[in-house]
Amino acid sequence: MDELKAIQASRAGDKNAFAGLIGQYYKNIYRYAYQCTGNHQDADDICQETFLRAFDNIRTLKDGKKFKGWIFQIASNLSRKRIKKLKFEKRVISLTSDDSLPGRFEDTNAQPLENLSGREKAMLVQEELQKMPGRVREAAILVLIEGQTQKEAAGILNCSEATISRHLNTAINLLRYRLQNLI
Amino acid sequence: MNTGENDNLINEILKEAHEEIQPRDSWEALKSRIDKKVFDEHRSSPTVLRLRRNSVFWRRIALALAACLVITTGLLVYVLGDRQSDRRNQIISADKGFLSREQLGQLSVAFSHVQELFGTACPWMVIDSGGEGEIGVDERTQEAADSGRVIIIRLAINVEGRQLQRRYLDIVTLPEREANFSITVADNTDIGVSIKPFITSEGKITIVMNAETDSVSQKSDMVTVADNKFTCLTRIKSNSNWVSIDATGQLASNI
Repeated sequence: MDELKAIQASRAGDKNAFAGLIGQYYKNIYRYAYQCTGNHQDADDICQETFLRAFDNIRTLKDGKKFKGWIFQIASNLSRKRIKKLKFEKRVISLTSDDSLPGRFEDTNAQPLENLSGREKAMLVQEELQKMPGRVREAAILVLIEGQTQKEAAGILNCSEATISRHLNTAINLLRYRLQNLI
Repeated sequence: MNTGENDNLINEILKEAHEEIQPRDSWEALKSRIDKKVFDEHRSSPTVLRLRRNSVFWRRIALALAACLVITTGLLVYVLGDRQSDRRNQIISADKGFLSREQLGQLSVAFSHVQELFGTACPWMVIDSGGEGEIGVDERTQEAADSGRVIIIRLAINVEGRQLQRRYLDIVTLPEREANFSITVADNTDIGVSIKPFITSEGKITIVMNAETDSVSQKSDMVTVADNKFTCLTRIKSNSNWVSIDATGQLASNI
Protein backbone atom coordinates (compact mmCIF):
# COMPACT_ATOMS: atom_id res chain seq x y z
CA MET A 1 0.00 0.00 0.00
CA ASP A 2 1.22 3.50 -0.80
CA GLU A 3 2.52 5.26 2.34
CA LEU A 4 0.14 8.20 2.09
CA LYS A 5 -2.85 5.89 1.65
CA ALA A 6 -1.64 3.79 4.57
CA ILE A 7 -1.45 6.93 6.71
CA GLN A 8 -4.98 7.95 5.65
CA ALA A 9 -6.28 4.47 6.45
CA SER A 10 -4.46 4.48 9.80
CA ARG A 11 -6.11 7.75 10.64
CA ALA A 12 -9.43 6.04 10.04
CA GLY A 13 -8.39 3.31 12.51
CA ASP A 14 -7.16 0.66 10.03
CA LYS A 15 -4.80 -1.51 12.07
CA ASN A 16 -3.41 -3.38 9.05
CA ALA A 17 -2.42 -0.13 7.41
CA PHE A 18 -0.65 1.01 10.54
CA ALA A 19 1.07 -2.38 10.84
CA GLY A 20 2.48 -1.69 7.37
CA LEU A 21 3.84 1.65 8.56
CA ILE A 22 5.41 -0.04 11.56
CA GLY A 23 7.09 -2.53 9.25
CA GLN A 24 8.46 0.30 7.18
CA TYR A 25 9.97 2.33 10.00
CA TYR A 26 10.57 0.19 13.07
CA LYS A 27 14.18 -0.63 12.19
CA ASN A 28 15.05 3.02 11.65
CA ILE A 29 13.39 4.01 14.88
CA TYR A 30 15.08 1.23 16.81
CA ARG A 31 18.51 2.17 15.45
CA TYR A 32 17.92 5.84 16.08
CA ALA A 33 16.83 5.16 19.66
CA TYR A 34 19.84 2.94 20.19
CA GLN A 35 22.20 5.60 18.82
CA CYS A 36 20.63 8.11 21.20
CA THR A 37 20.62 5.99 24.33
CA GLY A 38 23.39 3.47 23.63
CA ASN A 39 21.26 0.82 25.27
CA HIS A 40 19.26 -2.04 23.70
CA GLN A 41 16.64 -2.28 26.41
CA ASP A 42 15.91 1.46 26.25
CA ALA A 43 15.92 1.38 22.43
CA ASP A 44 13.40 -1.50 22.53
CA ASP A 45 11.12 0.36 24.95
CA ILE A 46 11.39 3.63 23.04
CA CYS A 47 10.62 1.89 19.75
CA GLN A 48 7.45 0.26 21.14
CA GLU A 49 6.33 3.44 22.87
CA THR A 50 6.94 5.51 19.72
CA PHE A 51 4.57 3.40 17.62
CA LEU A 52 2.03 3.21 20.39
CA ARG A 53 1.93 7.01 20.65
CA ALA A 54 1.91 7.37 16.90
CA PHE A 55 -1.09 5.07 16.62
CA ASP A 56 -2.95 6.88 19.40
CA ASN A 57 -2.28 10.31 17.93
CA ILE A 58 -2.15 9.77 14.19
CA ARG A 59 -5.39 11.75 13.83
CA THR A 60 -3.49 14.85 14.90
CA LEU A 61 -1.04 14.51 12.00
CA LYS A 62 -2.41 16.91 9.40
CA ASP A 63 0.07 16.35 6.59
CA GLY A 64 0.68 12.68 5.76
CA LYS A 65 3.90 13.58 3.94
CA LYS A 66 5.44 14.54 7.26
CA PHE A 67 4.87 11.14 8.84
CA LYS A 68 8.54 10.16 8.86
CA GLY A 69 9.62 13.40 10.51
CA TRP A 70 6.73 13.18 12.94
CA ILE A 71 7.51 9.65 14.08
CA PHE A 72 11.20 10.52 14.47
CA GLN A 73 10.16 13.51 16.52
CA ILE A 74 8.22 11.23 18.87
CA ALA A 75 11.23 8.91 19.12
CA SER A 76 13.55 11.88 19.69
CA ASN A 77 11.38 13.24 22.51
CA LEU A 78 11.12 9.84 24.15
CA SER A 79 14.88 9.30 23.83
CA ARG A 80 15.61 12.65 25.40
CA LYS A 81 13.24 11.87 28.26
CA ARG A 82 14.88 8.52 28.77
CA ILE A 83 18.38 10.04 28.78
CA LYS A 84 17.26 12.60 31.32
CA LYS A 85 15.88 9.81 33.48
CA LEU A 86 19.07 7.84 33.11
CA LYS A 87 21.14 10.84 34.11
CA PHE A 88 18.84 11.38 37.04
CA GLU A 89 19.34 7.81 38.16
CA LYS A 90 23.06 8.33 37.67
CA ARG A 91 23.17 5.25 35.54
CA VAL A 92 26.28 5.27 33.46
CA ILE A 93 25.88 3.88 29.98
CA SER A 94 28.82 1.69 29.39
CA LEU A 95 29.66 -0.08 26.19
CA THR A 96 31.42 -2.73 28.20
CA SER A 97 28.17 -3.84 29.81
CA ASP A 98 26.26 -6.90 28.63
CA ASP A 99 23.71 -4.63 27.09
CA SER A 100 26.07 -3.07 24.60
CA LEU A 101 27.21 -4.51 21.32
CA PRO A 102 29.15 -7.72 21.89
CA GLY A 103 32.84 -8.28 21.31
CA ARG A 104 34.23 -4.88 22.11
CA PHE A 105 37.10 -3.93 19.88
CA GLU A 106 40.20 -3.98 22.03
CA ASP A 107 42.77 -2.05 20.06
CA THR A 108 41.16 0.43 17.70
CA ASN A 109 44.32 2.39 17.06
CA ALA A 110 46.20 -0.60 15.86
CA GLN A 111 44.14 -1.62 12.83
CA PRO A 112 42.73 0.41 9.96
CA LEU A 113 38.94 0.41 9.63
CA GLU A 114 38.85 -1.75 6.51
CA ASN A 115 40.30 -4.60 8.56
CA LEU A 116 37.52 -4.42 11.12
CA SER A 117 34.30 -6.40 10.96
CA GLY A 118 30.96 -4.64 10.62
CA ARG A 119 30.20 -5.17 14.30
CA GLU A 120 33.53 -3.78 15.36
CA LYS A 121 33.07 -0.73 13.19
CA ALA A 122 29.58 -0.26 14.57
CA MET A 123 30.91 -0.43 18.07
CA LEU A 124 33.68 2.02 17.35
CA VAL A 125 31.37 4.50 15.64
CA GLN A 126 28.83 4.08 18.41
CA GLU A 127 31.54 4.83 20.91
CA GLU A 128 32.49 8.01 19.07
CA LEU A 129 28.86 9.08 18.71
CA GLN A 130 28.25 8.58 22.40
CA LYS A 131 31.10 10.96 23.16
CA MET A 132 29.34 13.75 21.26
CA PRO A 133 26.91 16.20 22.86
CA GLY A 134 23.30 14.93 22.59
CA ARG A 135 22.02 17.45 20.04
CA VAL A 136 25.10 17.06 17.82
CA ARG A 137 24.71 13.29 17.89
CA GLU A 138 20.99 13.46 17.04
CA ALA A 139 21.61 15.85 14.14
CA ALA A 140 24.34 13.56 12.79
CA ILE A 141 22.14 10.47 13.01
CA LEU A 142 19.16 12.12 11.37
CA VAL A 143 21.01 13.74 8.48
CA LEU A 144 24.09 11.60 7.87
CA ILE A 145 22.55 8.23 8.59
CA GLU A 146 18.78 8.50 8.23
CA GLY A 147 19.06 10.75 5.21
CA GLN A 148 16.71 13.44 6.51
CA THR A 149 17.22 16.90 5.08
CA GLN A 150 18.54 19.60 7.37
CA LYS A 151 15.11 21.23 7.28
CA GLU A 152 13.41 18.01 8.35
CA ALA A 153 15.98 17.46 11.09
CA ALA A 154 15.40 21.02 12.28
CA GLY A 155 11.67 20.24 12.51
CA ILE A 156 12.29 17.02 14.43
CA LEU A 157 14.74 18.56 16.88
CA ASN A 158 12.75 21.77 17.13
CA CYS A 159 15.58 24.12 16.22
CA SER A 160 16.68 26.20 13.24
CA GLU A 161 18.36 24.88 10.10
CA ALA A 162 21.42 26.97 10.94
CA THR A 163 21.71 25.16 14.26
CA ILE A 164 21.47 21.78 12.52
CA SER A 165 24.15 22.88 10.05
CA ARG A 166 26.41 23.92 12.95
CA HIS A 167 25.80 20.62 14.75
CA LEU A 168 26.60 18.68 11.58
CA ASN A 169 29.88 20.52 11.09
CA THR A 170 30.80 19.78 14.68
CA ALA A 171 29.88 16.10 14.28
CA ILE A 172 31.86 15.70 11.05
CA ASN A 173 34.89 17.47 12.48
CA LEU A 174 34.80 15.31 15.59
CA LEU A 175 34.48 12.12 13.53
CA ARG A 176 37.24 13.27 11.18
CA TYR A 177 39.50 13.96 14.13
CA ARG A 178 38.75 10.75 15.98
CA LEU A 179 38.74 8.39 13.05
CA GLN A 180 41.61 9.99 11.11
CA ASN A 181 44.15 7.47 12.30
CA LEU A 182 41.99 4.62 11.15
CA ILE A 183 41.13 5.66 7.59
CA MET B 1 43.20 10.75 0.80
CA ASN B 2 41.70 14.26 0.65
CA THR B 3 39.01 15.68 2.98
CA GLY B 4 36.12 14.99 0.58
CA GLU B 5 37.07 11.36 0.23
CA ASN B 6 37.55 11.12 3.98
CA ASP B 7 34.06 12.52 4.58
CA ASN B 8 32.55 10.07 2.14
CA LEU B 9 34.33 7.27 3.91
CA ILE B 10 33.11 8.51 7.27
CA ASN B 11 29.57 8.64 5.91
CA GLU B 12 29.88 5.09 4.63
CA ILE B 13 31.28 3.90 7.94
CA LEU B 14 28.47 5.62 9.79
CA LYS B 15 25.83 3.99 7.61
CA GLU B 16 27.53 0.64 7.75
CA ALA B 17 27.80 0.86 11.53
CA HIS B 18 24.19 1.99 11.73
CA GLU B 19 23.04 -0.99 9.69
CA GLU B 20 24.82 -3.26 12.13
CA ILE B 21 22.61 -2.19 15.00
CA GLN B 22 19.94 -4.75 15.72
CA PRO B 23 17.94 -5.93 18.70
CA ARG B 24 19.38 -8.49 21.06
CA ASP B 25 16.99 -11.18 19.85
CA SER B 26 15.78 -10.44 16.31
CA TRP B 27 13.91 -7.91 14.19
CA GLU B 28 10.91 -10.24 13.98
CA ALA B 29 10.75 -10.52 17.75
CA LEU B 30 10.86 -6.73 18.06
CA LYS B 31 8.14 -6.33 15.40
CA SER B 32 5.89 -8.75 17.22
CA ARG B 33 6.49 -6.90 20.51
CA ILE B 34 5.54 -3.61 18.87
CA ASP B 35 2.44 -5.15 17.24
CA LYS B 36 1.42 -6.66 20.53
CA LYS B 37 1.83 -3.37 22.35
CA VAL B 38 0.04 -1.29 19.73
CA PHE B 39 -2.76 -3.66 18.77
CA ASP B 40 -3.27 -5.41 22.07
CA GLU B 41 -6.85 -6.72 22.18
CA HIS B 42 -7.25 -5.56 25.76
CA ARG B 43 -5.97 -2.11 25.06
CA SER B 44 -8.59 0.56 24.62
CA SER B 45 -8.91 2.14 21.18
CA PRO B 46 -7.37 5.60 20.61
CA THR B 47 -10.85 7.14 20.65
CA VAL B 48 -11.65 5.56 23.99
CA LEU B 49 -8.24 6.62 25.30
CA ARG B 50 -8.88 10.17 24.12
CA LEU B 51 -12.30 10.18 25.76
CA ARG B 52 -10.77 8.77 28.91
CA ARG B 53 -8.08 11.47 28.86
CA ASN B 54 -10.82 14.06 28.40
CA SER B 55 -12.82 12.65 31.24
CA VAL B 56 -9.70 12.61 33.43
CA PHE B 57 -9.11 16.25 32.52
CA TRP B 58 -12.67 17.26 33.39
CA ARG B 59 -12.56 15.18 36.54
CA ARG B 60 -9.42 17.06 37.59
CA ILE B 61 -11.08 20.39 36.83
CA ALA B 62 -14.14 19.33 38.84
CA LEU B 63 -11.92 18.29 41.74
CA ALA B 64 -10.06 21.61 41.61
CA LEU B 65 -13.36 23.53 41.59
CA ALA B 66 -14.69 21.42 44.44
CA ALA B 67 -11.53 22.13 46.42
CA CYS B 68 -11.94 25.87 45.75
CA LEU B 69 -15.57 25.65 46.83
CA VAL B 70 -14.66 23.85 50.05
CA ILE B 71 -11.98 26.41 50.85
CA THR B 72 -14.32 29.33 50.10
CA THR B 73 -17.10 27.78 52.18
CA GLY B 74 -14.64 27.16 54.98
CA LEU B 75 -13.51 30.77 54.93
CA LEU B 76 -17.10 31.99 54.79
CA VAL B 77 -18.07 29.80 57.74
CA TYR B 78 -15.04 31.03 59.64
CA VAL B 79 -15.85 34.70 58.96
CA LEU B 80 -19.54 34.28 59.77
CA GLY B 81 -18.70 32.28 62.87
CA ASP B 82 -16.34 35.00 63.94
CA ARG B 83 -18.96 37.65 63.49
CA GLN B 84 -21.58 35.63 65.29
CA SER B 85 -19.12 35.07 68.07
CA ASP B 86 -18.55 38.83 68.21
CA ARG B 87 -22.29 39.37 68.36
CA ARG B 88 -22.65 36.70 71.02
CA ASN B 89 -19.89 38.35 73.02
CA GLN B 90 -21.65 41.63 72.57
CA ILE B 91 -24.95 40.21 73.80
CA ILE B 92 -23.32 38.42 76.70
CA SER B 93 -21.42 41.50 77.77
CA ALA B 94 -24.49 43.62 77.19
CA ASP B 95 -26.36 41.44 79.62
CA LYS B 96 -23.50 41.76 82.03
CA GLY B 97 -23.33 45.49 81.47
CA PHE B 98 -26.56 46.55 83.12
CA LEU B 99 -26.33 48.74 86.15
CA SER B 100 -26.82 46.79 89.33
CA ARG B 101 -28.98 48.10 92.11
CA GLU B 102 -25.86 48.60 94.19
CA GLN B 103 -24.15 50.62 91.45
CA LEU B 104 -27.23 52.77 91.01
CA GLY B 105 -27.24 53.46 94.73
CA GLN B 106 -23.55 54.38 94.77
CA LEU B 107 -23.91 56.66 91.76
CA SER B 108 -26.91 58.45 93.29
CA VAL B 109 -25.08 59.03 96.54
CA ALA B 110 -21.99 60.29 94.70
CA PHE B 111 -24.12 62.63 92.56
CA SER B 112 -25.87 64.07 95.61
CA HIS B 113 -22.42 65.07 96.95
CA VAL B 114 -21.56 66.65 93.60
CA GLN B 115 -24.82 68.57 93.59
CA GLU B 116 -23.98 69.91 97.04
CA LEU B 117 -20.60 71.09 95.70
CA PHE B 118 -22.14 73.05 92.85
CA GLY B 119 -25.04 74.55 94.76
CA THR B 120 -27.78 75.71 92.45
CA ALA B 121 -25.90 74.89 89.22
CA CYS B 122 -26.77 71.78 87.23
CA PRO B 123 -23.83 69.40 87.36
CA TRP B 124 -23.28 66.13 85.55
CA MET B 125 -20.93 63.31 86.35
CA VAL B 126 -19.27 60.67 84.18
CA ILE B 127 -17.51 57.61 85.50
CA ASP B 128 -15.54 55.39 83.15
CA SER B 129 -15.42 51.64 83.77
CA GLY B 130 -11.63 52.10 83.74
CA GLY B 131 -12.06 54.08 86.97
CA GLU B 132 -11.61 57.61 85.62
CA GLY B 133 -14.27 60.19 86.26
CA GLU B 134 -15.25 63.62 85.04
CA ILE B 135 -17.54 66.25 86.48
CA GLY B 136 -19.04 69.19 84.62
CA VAL B 137 -21.77 71.77 84.78
CA ASP B 138 -24.42 72.77 82.31
CA GLU B 139 -24.24 76.53 82.62
CA ARG B 140 -27.64 77.29 81.19
CA THR B 141 -29.77 78.92 83.83
CA GLN B 142 -33.13 77.88 82.46
CA GLU B 143 -34.89 75.61 84.92
CA ALA B 144 -35.61 72.14 83.65
CA ALA B 145 -39.06 70.65 84.04
CA ASP B 146 -37.90 67.67 86.06
CA SER B 147 -34.85 69.14 87.67
CA GLY B 148 -35.52 67.22 90.83
CA ARG B 149 -35.13 63.84 89.18
CA VAL B 150 -31.77 62.27 88.50
CA ILE B 151 -31.10 60.20 85.38
CA ILE B 152 -28.42 57.52 85.25
CA ILE B 153 -27.34 56.46 81.80
CA ARG B 154 -24.90 53.68 81.08
CA LEU B 155 -23.14 53.99 77.73
CA ALA B 156 -21.55 50.95 76.13
CA ILE B 157 -18.72 51.97 73.80
CA ASN B 158 -18.06 49.19 71.29
CA VAL B 159 -14.99 49.37 69.07
CA GLU B 160 -15.85 47.05 66.19
CA GLY B 161 -13.24 44.97 64.45
CA ARG B 162 -11.80 41.46 64.48
CA GLN B 163 -12.20 41.53 68.25
CA LEU B 164 -14.95 43.55 69.78
CA GLN B 165 -13.73 45.85 72.52
CA ARG B 166 -16.28 47.21 74.94
CA ARG B 167 -16.18 49.57 77.84
CA TYR B 168 -18.83 51.36 79.87
CA LEU B 169 -19.41 54.91 80.96
CA ASP B 170 -21.93 55.85 83.62
CA ILE B 171 -23.41 59.30 83.26
CA VAL B 172 -25.38 60.84 86.06
CA THR B 173 -27.17 64.00 85.14
CA LEU B 174 -30.40 65.92 85.35
CA PRO B 175 -33.09 65.88 82.67
CA GLU B 176 -32.70 68.29 79.73
CA ARG B 177 -29.16 69.12 80.79
CA GLU B 178 -26.31 68.54 78.44
CA ALA B 179 -23.21 66.65 79.50
CA ASN B 180 -20.08 67.17 77.37
CA PHE B 181 -17.09 64.93 77.75
CA SER B 182 -14.62 62.96 75.65
CA ILE B 183 -13.83 59.29 75.30
CA THR B 184 -10.46 57.93 74.22
CA VAL B 185 -10.85 54.77 72.14
CA ALA B 186 -8.31 52.01 71.44
CA ASP B 187 -6.34 53.81 68.73
CA ASN B 188 -5.91 56.87 70.97
CA THR B 189 -8.55 58.83 69.12
CA ASP B 190 -10.71 61.14 71.17
CA ILE B 191 -14.41 61.12 70.51
CA GLY B 192 -16.22 64.15 71.84
CA VAL B 193 -19.64 63.23 73.21
CA SER B 194 -22.50 65.54 73.98
CA ILE B 195 -25.49 63.83 75.57
CA LYS B 196 -28.82 65.28 76.61
CA PRO B 197 -31.50 63.09 78.26
CA PHE B 198 -35.21 63.78 78.55
CA ILE B 199 -38.00 62.15 80.50
CA THR B 200 -41.11 61.43 78.45
CA SER B 201 -44.67 61.77 79.72
CA GLU B 202 -44.71 57.95 80.11
CA GLY B 203 -41.71 58.19 82.39
CA LYS B 204 -39.29 56.78 79.83
CA ILE B 205 -35.86 58.19 79.06
CA THR B 206 -35.03 59.56 75.63
CA ILE B 207 -31.59 60.71 74.62
CA VAL B 208 -30.17 63.03 71.99
CA MET B 209 -26.53 62.51 71.41
CA ASN B 210 -23.83 64.08 69.29
CA ALA B 211 -20.52 62.32 68.77
CA GLU B 212 -17.61 63.78 66.87
CA THR B 213 -14.04 63.00 65.98
CA ASP B 214 -11.56 65.37 64.27
CA SER B 215 -13.10 64.60 60.92
CA VAL B 216 -16.63 63.32 61.48
CA SER B 217 -19.63 64.47 63.42
CA GLN B 218 -22.59 62.20 64.00
CA LYS B 219 -25.80 63.37 65.63
CA SER B 220 -28.41 60.85 66.75
CA ASP B 221 -32.15 61.33 66.61
CA MET B 222 -34.08 61.29 69.81
CA VAL B 223 -33.81 57.68 70.94
CA THR B 224 -35.84 56.12 73.71
CA VAL B 225 -33.69 53.79 75.79
CA ALA B 226 -34.82 50.95 78.02
CA ASP B 227 -33.51 50.01 81.40
CA ASN B 228 -33.20 46.31 80.60
CA LYS B 229 -31.40 46.37 77.28
CA PHE B 230 -28.88 48.46 75.39
CA THR B 231 -30.14 50.54 72.51
CA CYS B 232 -27.84 51.82 69.81
CA LEU B 233 -27.58 55.62 69.79
CA THR B 234 -25.06 56.12 67.01
CA ARG B 235 -22.12 54.68 65.09
CA ILE B 236 -19.11 56.75 64.16
CA LYS B 237 -15.97 56.00 62.17
CA SER B 238 -12.82 56.52 64.18
CA ASN B 239 -9.74 56.06 62.00
CA SER B 240 -10.00 52.50 60.70
CA ASN B 241 -12.57 51.30 63.24
CA TRP B 242 -16.26 51.79 63.66
CA VAL B 243 -17.33 52.77 67.16
CA SER B 244 -20.91 52.16 68.16
CA ILE B 245 -22.39 53.79 71.21
CA ASP B 246 -25.29 51.99 72.95
CA ALA B 247 -27.18 53.14 75.98
CA THR B 248 -29.44 51.98 78.74
CA GLY B 249 -30.99 54.42 81.22
CA GLN B 250 -32.85 54.60 84.50
CA LEU B 251 -34.26 57.22 86.79
CA ALA B 252 -32.59 57.43 90.15
CA SER B 253 -36.02 57.81 91.72
CA ASN B 254 -36.83 54.27 90.60
CA ILE B 255 -34.26 52.85 93.00
